[in-house]
Amino acid sequence: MYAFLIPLLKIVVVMAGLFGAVPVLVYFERRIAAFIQDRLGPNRVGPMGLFQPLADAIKMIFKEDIVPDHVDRVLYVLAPVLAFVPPALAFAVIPFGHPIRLLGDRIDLAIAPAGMGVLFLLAVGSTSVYGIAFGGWASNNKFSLLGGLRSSAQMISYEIPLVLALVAVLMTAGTLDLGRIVAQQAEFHLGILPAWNLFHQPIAFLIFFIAAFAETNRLPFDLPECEPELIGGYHTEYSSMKFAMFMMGEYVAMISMSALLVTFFLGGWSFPGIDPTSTALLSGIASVVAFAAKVAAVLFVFMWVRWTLPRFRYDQLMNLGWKVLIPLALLNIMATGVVGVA
Amino acid sequence: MDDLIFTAASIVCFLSALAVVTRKNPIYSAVSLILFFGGLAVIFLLLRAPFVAGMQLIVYGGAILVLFLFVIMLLNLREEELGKEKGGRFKAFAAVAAGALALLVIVPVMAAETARDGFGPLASLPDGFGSVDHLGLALFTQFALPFEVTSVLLLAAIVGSVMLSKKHV
Amino acid sequence: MPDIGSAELRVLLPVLAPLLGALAVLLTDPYLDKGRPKLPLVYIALGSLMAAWAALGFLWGDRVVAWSGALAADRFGLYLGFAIATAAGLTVLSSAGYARKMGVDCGEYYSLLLLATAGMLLLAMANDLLMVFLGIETMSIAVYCLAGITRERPRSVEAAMKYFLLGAFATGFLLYGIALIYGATGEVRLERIAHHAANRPLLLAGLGFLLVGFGFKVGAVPFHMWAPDAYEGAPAAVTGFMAAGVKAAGFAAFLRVLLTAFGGEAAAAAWAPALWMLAALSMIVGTLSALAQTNLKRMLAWSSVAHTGYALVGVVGGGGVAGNGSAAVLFYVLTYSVMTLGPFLVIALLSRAGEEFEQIDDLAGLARRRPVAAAALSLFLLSLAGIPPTAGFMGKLFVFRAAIDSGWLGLGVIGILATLVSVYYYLRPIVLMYMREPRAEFNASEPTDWASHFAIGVAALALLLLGVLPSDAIAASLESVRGLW
Repeated sequence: MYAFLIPLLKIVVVMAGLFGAVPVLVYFERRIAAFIQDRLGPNRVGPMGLFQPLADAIKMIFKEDIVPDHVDRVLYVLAPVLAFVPPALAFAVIPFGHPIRLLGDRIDLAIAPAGMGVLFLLAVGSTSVYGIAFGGWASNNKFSLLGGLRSSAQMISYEIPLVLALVAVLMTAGTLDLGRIVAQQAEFHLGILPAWNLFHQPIAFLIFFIAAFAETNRLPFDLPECEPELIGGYHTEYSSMKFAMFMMGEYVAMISMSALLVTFFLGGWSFPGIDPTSTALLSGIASVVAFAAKVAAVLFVFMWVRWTLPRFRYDQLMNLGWKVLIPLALLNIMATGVVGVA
Repeated sequence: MDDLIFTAASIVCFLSALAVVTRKNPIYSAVSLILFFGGLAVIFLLLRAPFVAGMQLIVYGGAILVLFLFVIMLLNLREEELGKEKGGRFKAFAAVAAGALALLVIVPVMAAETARDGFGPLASLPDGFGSVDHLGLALFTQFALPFEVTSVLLLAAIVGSVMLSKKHV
Repeated sequence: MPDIGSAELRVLLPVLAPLLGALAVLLTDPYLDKGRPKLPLVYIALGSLMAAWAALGFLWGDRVVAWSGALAADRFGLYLGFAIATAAGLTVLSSAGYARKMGVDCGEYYSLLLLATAGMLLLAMANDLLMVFLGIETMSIAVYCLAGITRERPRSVEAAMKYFLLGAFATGFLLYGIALIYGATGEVRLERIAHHAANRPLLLAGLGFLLVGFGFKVGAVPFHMWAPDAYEGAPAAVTGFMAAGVKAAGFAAFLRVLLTAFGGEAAAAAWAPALWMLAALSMIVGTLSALAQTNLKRMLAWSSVAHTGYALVGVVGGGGVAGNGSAAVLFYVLTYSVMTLGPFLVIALLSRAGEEFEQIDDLAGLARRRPVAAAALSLFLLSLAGIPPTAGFMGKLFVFRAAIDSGWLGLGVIGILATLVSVYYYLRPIVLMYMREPRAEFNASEPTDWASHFAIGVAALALLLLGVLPSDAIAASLESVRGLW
């Protein structure tokens, strides 16, 4: 009973945190956008506009759910679900704190600490393109279709440098176990510099960081939904909660990507002052907070970039992916191999 | 538990494979194929081949099928363009051929099963079987040449497809 | 961990030569002038094939096994390796002019040719089932693309498509057979599979699937459906390469698998009757269908099906390693690859820009306009018919005698009857060339294509030499089979 309860509890807590974070992110996105553009942003609903996400949610729920006549019903309904399930699934293997000991049992702070966690992440991540692709096709609208096609091409293209960047990281880590990858980063060089992979693999970090924007369809790579050309892209025909699900999927994907970035490059839950070998509850909570703070910091960068950089043209996007990032990632792997042997 | 998962995965595989060939709309065939790959990945997991399972999803489910979808979406055939269903005789022939192939596949395996002929139970597998370390070691030592020759094969395929598809020779 | 020392590299040399050639061609092509003939590519291709030849000669000797048993350099593989490298070289020579006429004078053409050659050489030297599969696929994929390289001709595209689809289907059979064999034995290495008792259902089923897969690759009835369309549609130089190289490499691997992994008596008793049927059907169907053809390439396609049957006669009547049958197959495939390549070289020479010279009726009066081409074509056809003193006669004699000696009288009789019937369709073009008035215009005004003439001359000379002085080649083939272990 007890053995069954703990994983369930972890799932509930993580998913609640994940989906609870979405409205918060929406609020911050708008406030940060306003700040960058030197305007006020939402400030009417509640103190400092804090209840704005709530108002948005109520508005979404009460809107009429329109399913246009000309769509392919099955895929049209399925697409929004597919858009946010894979990124949420990624959280199954991400360690968000160091193991703690509770009532005498050792508990890993990850829903399913798997020996091949990285493989699982990649497998799940590779299916995340379907939501947008199906949504674009099922809408039976040329703007949606173009958006869907653009996104599948873009996500496939950028998955390659993303994975190749990870290969270099895995070569230095020597394991596919995310828990061990984080634990390795909890150490220090020369007593002060954290042994984060950011410092071991700066090029891989850069590639992963750029590819992450493309994978989540965020500016400067948000061509699948670029308004001036495609109206709304793949979600043009969606309204009400189905549209909200696409939105949520986008934000969940952003959180997952940030969490991966933190796990692979920024030391995961580790932080100077937190003893990685400790199993105390308090230290465990501190590690979770450290993880959340790092993810939040990366998310801020995501938003900052969105409101400061212009959008790439489609050919520029493809050139960057295929002609710059992939060769760079391959060279990085070679260099890692050479250094590793030497 | 393993038996239960296996049964469920095989049913998914069977039904989705059937749907691949019976759906008239190619998009649905492709979607069924994705489902089929998912079921297959589960079976690979049960066979203690997690790496193969992951690759099944990443390469087939995530990359190749997206390219299939890409082509289907670009063609974007409408109902009338898909043409009339093939006649009953064609279907009957296809069913007979598929049945014969299934027999060809099933009979030897069943015969082997009854004759207790084969590889032996999973319990006798070496430690670390199917792990990435094990697989990597095998690929770069015992099977180094086949592994490298695969790249020649892919090079031939790339050169060929570029040649066949580029605008001017 | 295998030591990647000299043995490993040495064994790989014949494959590395065309492979590096292919890469060099790809890297050189962009730096060449667009409008001018791309002779440097021809030189690179020829050079790498000559290097492959030299490497094969250098390795000729006792069996060396390397790469954890994946690759074996023994006389058996090298023997047909020579045939493959020669066929590729002659194809390149004839392509220098032909590719330009067909508008495919590009780097991809030569690199695919070399990649296919590398795959064929791998296949001939493959010592485990994985390498057999990879060799077949490397060869086949390159050849599928080559068959469709003249994209403006619908027939070429049709040929490539049919060849590709049926080929992929056959590869499925082959791979499934390999999987079953691995499931039964846990081995992919040929000589280790031989240690397992052959009467196990899983192993026998695997063998059955292998026979289907190989049967397709060598074009044996009833797995020959692709051959006529593919041969007819593919550009002539490619068809010749396909007929000679693919068949030689396919037979090399086929025979090696049968003799090494399934060479025991129990296993041989299982495959011999099946191959008996394939051989008899191939000879009968191939010969009878060739009678009715009006298209030269299509006629040669059916003739190649019949010749697969003749070679299979030798496989059935092999008599194991001690018998002469397997050696007879090696010699037969060697001569066959030269004599089937020949007519296609002539067709390539006679073809005009963008238009294949392929109707048998167009041959009327050729002897008067192009005496050299007509004489060479006659020689090749006579050899295909098995008329002395050509190599075709020696090959057939060797094969049929081996079969009859080991007790397969029926097969020998079918073979001889088929040969007699085949004389009709091989002689008809010759009669047309020499006894009719010319009907069509021949492109006599074009500058002489010396490279093509040279290739045809080499093939014709080889056929005469192998026919008049076959003893060395036959002795080498016997040695090759003996040296399999």
